[in-house]
Amino acid sequence: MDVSTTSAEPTLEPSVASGLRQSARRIRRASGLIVIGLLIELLAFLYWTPFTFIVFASVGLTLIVGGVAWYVIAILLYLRERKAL
Amino acid sequence: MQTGLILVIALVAVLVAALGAASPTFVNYRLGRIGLLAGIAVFPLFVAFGGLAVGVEQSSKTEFCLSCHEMTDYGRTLFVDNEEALAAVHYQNRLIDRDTTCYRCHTNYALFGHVSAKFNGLKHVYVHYLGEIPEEIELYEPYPNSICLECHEDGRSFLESEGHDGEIAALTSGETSCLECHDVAHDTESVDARNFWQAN
Repeated sequence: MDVSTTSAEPTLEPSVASGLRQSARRIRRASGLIVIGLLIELLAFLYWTPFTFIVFASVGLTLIVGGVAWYVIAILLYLRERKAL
Repeated sequence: MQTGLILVIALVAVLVAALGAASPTFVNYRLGRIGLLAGIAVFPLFVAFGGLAVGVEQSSKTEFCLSCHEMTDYGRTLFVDNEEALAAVHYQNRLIDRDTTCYRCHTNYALFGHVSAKFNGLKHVYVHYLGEIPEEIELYEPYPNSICLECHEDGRSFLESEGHDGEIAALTSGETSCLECHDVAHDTESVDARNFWQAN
């Protein structure tokens, strides 16, 4: 990470700071999806019926897998932006 | 045990994922990165697929099948006092696992039999909530002997039964249906008459 050492507090270059903000936003969205998916699965697990099983397998699972995929993409993009890939 | 473990891991994952949502910048720290990886990727996937596996197993339970009111009378036939009724005889004499009675006798044991049973289950859930429930519930296809033979084929009582003399080959090939003689599968008439077996 490029950090300027001229000022008292380290500041990031604008392009790096913008990239970090974007990565943070992507991770936040991925986490949000996963939290919603996990909560749906928890509720379904606590009240287990044929209907909640379908909700568990279709909605909860999709949200979690989607969130994890989003998280992986965010990490890959973050690494590519830092030329670490 | 399985359910408890999955619930605990789900709660941990919810906490870490929520932390990740609140402050994703801890990706800048090594421990933070490991925490995020566990909380956002590893634990949730474990919960999702572990939970799915437990759910699929739970959906084979007798209790699960009988949780729809359409199946209530068929569930009661397990307790009728009729030694000719197949469901009752198998259940009451513990010839079959009581926890998975419906599933064991209504699953084809061929290569994709279990997958097919689960997809049929999805259809049942759809019909239960959104479709029109038929007045008389029927099997999708004639009951195959292979399901009976999965357990009975090499059983002594099956091979040495007088009624089976000279019929073994026809039963094995499916030429003769087991239900031609054993024609009472679920005795719903006894349910209507409230004729139930009571264990002493």
